[in-house]
Amino acid sequence: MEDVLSSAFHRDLMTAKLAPGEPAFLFELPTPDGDRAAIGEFVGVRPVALVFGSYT
Amino acid sequence: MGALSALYRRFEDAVAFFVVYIREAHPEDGWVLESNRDDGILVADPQTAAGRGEVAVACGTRFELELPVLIDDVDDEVGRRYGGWPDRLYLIGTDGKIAYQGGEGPFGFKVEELEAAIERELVVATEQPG
Repeated sequence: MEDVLSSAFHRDLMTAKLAPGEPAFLFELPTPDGDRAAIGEFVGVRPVALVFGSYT
Repeated sequence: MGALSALYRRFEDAVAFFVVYIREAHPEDGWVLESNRDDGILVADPQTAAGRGEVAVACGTRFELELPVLIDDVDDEVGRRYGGWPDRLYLIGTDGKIAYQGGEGPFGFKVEELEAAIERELVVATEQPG
């Protein structure tokens, strides 16, 4: 399945639509506890570090 | 995840950290890594929001992850926008702009680069009140 890296679907997932210096895309997502968190609540107050990843 | 936990502990009062759990990189129903199997990590890519939540919890527990976790929707909107798959690091400055965009993981996933970006950003924030 190494060909996932050449699939259009996965290439799209790997391709950032943002560049340094551009406004960040603000979002709200669920937490494992069932709450929701919006990063917009923190932007402008302090830096926000995002770590994208999965289990595998 | 040891380096990330160390970074989190160093800056958790000054920086908002979030792990964004996204689509699996090496699920059992995709590109399987034998090294994961050797470590007992066998995960099918979750197809529902609830399924993603369950795997995200298992992941956080296994890696003793202290960082707050957010779960991307199964349409992958946030991961797609940030190009986060299979893994990638970002820092958003206090001005709301992308201050640091890490390279494509796993080879571009460099915690020390994020650490340096945080140090730069905190100096900038101190020098520019408001």
